[in-house]
Amino acid sequence: MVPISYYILLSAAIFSIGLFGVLTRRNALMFLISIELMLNAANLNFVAFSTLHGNLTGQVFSLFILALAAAEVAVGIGIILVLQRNFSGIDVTKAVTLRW
Amino acid sequence: MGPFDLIAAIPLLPLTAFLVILFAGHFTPSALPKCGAIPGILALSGSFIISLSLLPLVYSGNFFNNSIYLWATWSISDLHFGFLIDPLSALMLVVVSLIALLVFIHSLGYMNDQNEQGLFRYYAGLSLFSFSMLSFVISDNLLMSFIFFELVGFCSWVLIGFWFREDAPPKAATKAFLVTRFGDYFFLIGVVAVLVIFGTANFAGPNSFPVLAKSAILSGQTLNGLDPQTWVTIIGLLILGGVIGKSAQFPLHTWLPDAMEGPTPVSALIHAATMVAAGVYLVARIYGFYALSPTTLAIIALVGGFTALLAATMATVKHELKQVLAYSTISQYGYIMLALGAGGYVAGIFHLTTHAIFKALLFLGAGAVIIAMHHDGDMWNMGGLREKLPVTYWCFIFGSLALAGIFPFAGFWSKDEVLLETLNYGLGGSPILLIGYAFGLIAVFVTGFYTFRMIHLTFHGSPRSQAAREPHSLRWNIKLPLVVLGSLSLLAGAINMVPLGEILGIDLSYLHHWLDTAPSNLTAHHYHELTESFSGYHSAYFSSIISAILSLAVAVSGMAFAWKLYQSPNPTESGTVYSTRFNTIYRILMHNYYQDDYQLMIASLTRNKLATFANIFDQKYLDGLVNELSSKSLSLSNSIRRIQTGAVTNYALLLSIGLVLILFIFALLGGWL
Amino acid sequence: MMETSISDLLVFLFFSGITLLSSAGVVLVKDVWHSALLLGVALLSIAVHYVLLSAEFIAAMQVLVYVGGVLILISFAIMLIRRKMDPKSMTSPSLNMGPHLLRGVGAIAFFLLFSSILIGASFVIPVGFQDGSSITKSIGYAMFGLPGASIHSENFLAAFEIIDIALVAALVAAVMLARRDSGGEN
Repeated sequence: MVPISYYILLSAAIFSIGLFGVLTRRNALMFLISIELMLNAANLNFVAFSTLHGNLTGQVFSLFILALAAAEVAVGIGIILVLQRNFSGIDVTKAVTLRW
Repeated sequence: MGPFDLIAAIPLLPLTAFLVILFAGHFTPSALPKCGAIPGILALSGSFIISLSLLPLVYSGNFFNNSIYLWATWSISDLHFGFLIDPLSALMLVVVSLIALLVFIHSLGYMNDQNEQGLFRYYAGLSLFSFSMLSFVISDNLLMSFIFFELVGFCSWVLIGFWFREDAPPKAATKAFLVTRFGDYFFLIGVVAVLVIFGTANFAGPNSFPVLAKSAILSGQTLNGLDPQTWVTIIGLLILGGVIGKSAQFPLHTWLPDAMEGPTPVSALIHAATMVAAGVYLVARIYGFYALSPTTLAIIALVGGFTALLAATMATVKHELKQVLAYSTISQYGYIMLALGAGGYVAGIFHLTTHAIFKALLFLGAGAVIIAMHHDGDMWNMGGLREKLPVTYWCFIFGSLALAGIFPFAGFWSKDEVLLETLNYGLGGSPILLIGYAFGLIAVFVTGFYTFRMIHLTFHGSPRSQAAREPHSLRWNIKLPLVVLGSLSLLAGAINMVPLGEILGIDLSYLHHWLDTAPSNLTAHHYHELTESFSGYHSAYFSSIISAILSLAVAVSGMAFAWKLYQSPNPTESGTVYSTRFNTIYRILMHNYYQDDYQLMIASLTRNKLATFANIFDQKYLDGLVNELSSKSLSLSNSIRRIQTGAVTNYALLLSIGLVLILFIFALLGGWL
Repeated sequence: MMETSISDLLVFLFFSGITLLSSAGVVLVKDVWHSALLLGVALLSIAVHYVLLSAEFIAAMQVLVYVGGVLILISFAIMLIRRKMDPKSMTSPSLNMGPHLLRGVGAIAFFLLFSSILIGASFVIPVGFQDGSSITKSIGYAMFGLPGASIHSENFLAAFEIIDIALVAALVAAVMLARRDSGGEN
């Protein structure tokens, strides 16, 4: 097996890239995509540690995360559609009704 | 079960009556006959009978001094309620409960028969008043005394302002309350000082504060950095503040004449037995403390003597019957203070007792006259009531003779003894008391004068108004208390007939012996020793016969002067010397030496200054601080809220920066880096 | 006890490169549609990592759920939202560079901090799964809380049921959100 620190470094990199996307992009769909990246980074960590310890808990957990990610995307896209309707665009910096 | 087991019932019976009248009067008014007078009369009859039954026990040398209820423990002293029954309090209990009972009976005629409204409030107030005063009398420590002292003041406020829909009574009630409260501030400080310095506020027993003060002075050590005698003087003067307020002594006497706005039975109760008596009773109660300080004693004597004369002169020109009586009360309490200040403990108690009787009589008599006059109290509208109201007339005469100090009425014996004691100690090395004696002797003349002016204007001559020609008839409930008190004011002097005893060569000073049966530190004898050794009071043993003849002669000359001025059937003030030769004096007397005016001026000046200062302080500093605080925080939050952009990206940025920072701190602290 | 073979390492490095490059492309390209396609590449390469970690079932699920479900959903969303097509962007992907990337400094700081912590960290010796044991079968046992799994894990029956409810709730919520407020029954 490849040393675990490689995997952690890889998943940290993917997570940071996802975070980078969240911070820099204004498109709501890009938000969603970046969050998928971050979720995958976490998943990769789970599976890697599962193999490291010879314990299946990590893998089962990653399955749950998979399912939740699918649900999240479904709801997220619903929200994006509503955003499109109400703010005539999906720029997240325009939807600022909750500001001061 | 002896009478000592029933001590608690003496104050609790009127308290029960108060509660019954209050709640029954509110919920089922029809269930109480006579609007609540009956429960009050029953309760006070009970208190009176128990008080009477205490007398033989006390006389046989028993006394009661126990804590009943401990309501707080403090590092300095335990605070408790307790009862002290000794000859002084037993005597006072009898006097208070008797007069309160008679006032209740009189009220049946004065209030119920006149169809007054709000009588439940009236009788509830009277019951609470009696409860407060009885509790005050039997209290065994200074703090409990203070509590009931204040309650007495509150009850007087309720009752003086009974006719609160009219203009004057609420003002008079508030004035009485505020003026006495002014004195009570000093009293309160005194109570705290006693507790802090002596660690106890008990009146009697080996650990009472007068005894501790005495041993502190004897030991010669300093207490809290001051000489013990200085402490005694300071505390004594502080407590005296409350006494001067309550007992209406100069300069805090101005509330008492105004208190005449209340119902006349209430005035009788205030003047004779409860409110005003509370002050001098307090001095007598802690006499063992006052006897240690010659300064305080001298001040008491001078204030008393001065007040006696000052109030008496003001009484000479008043139009209202009750006003004359009010000033005479102030004057008579001045005598009591003079006696106490001059070392005449027994004389003071004696005059307190006889004054309670004849002043109650005079007020109830005045009440009778006022009813007969269809609620007109102006003496210039009266005249010739002697034939119409014979019972009232004779009782009033008895009371007046006692007030003027004419042989053989009660006031003669007691007032004579006051003057005799003052003269004795004055000649015996305390010349300052001679000033008090001079005040007192002149006041005797003035007293005789205003008393007979009052009698003449009210009962003699020819009627000067329609009401005086056809007076209202009086019922038994008015007359009964008058007759009881009238006979008492003739006989009460018998308890201490010193001059007669000197003539006959036998000892007739029963009251002296009675007060000597007290527990060791409360006897008249002990007080005498204290004044002798600590205040340097030595008796000159002046002849009581000569003193008695002198004061009697002065009183009679005052009466004769009044007789000469007002003897015509239709006397007028303009026909007298006042308005012709002494116009200025007359005006000054009518305005009570401008006492009210200057006190009002001082009060309003200080009030205005204080209010202006407080206003500026409040506006500029208190409000300014709050406003500044709020405006600053408003602008601060106005700028801080800009963080809340509403854009998710910015929140995410802040979140990640925060995460990085927290992680960084953890890494640093945990040594991960 | 598992040894690191050179071939494994090479495969790992190769697919790591693909994953990182495609991920970076996802967040950097201008057009959302290109991002979605690059996301597909990234997800597939992560599936390869799962296979390397002997998690074949997870890799299959990754392909099925992510590439087959989530990516399709995103594509639909892009089609629903984009009104007019830019023909140029359809063919040539271009990077979306500019000063707005400065905000990404938070993410870079996070990565730097995390990796510097990681350098000092030590881990247990890898255990791995026993040869011949069925991982997929064990996952099934674990999910339903049944005995008989050859590889140890926790019991996940309750979590499984809760996920079930969460999925239903998400489905209903998605429908609710996507529906137009016509107010009618249709």
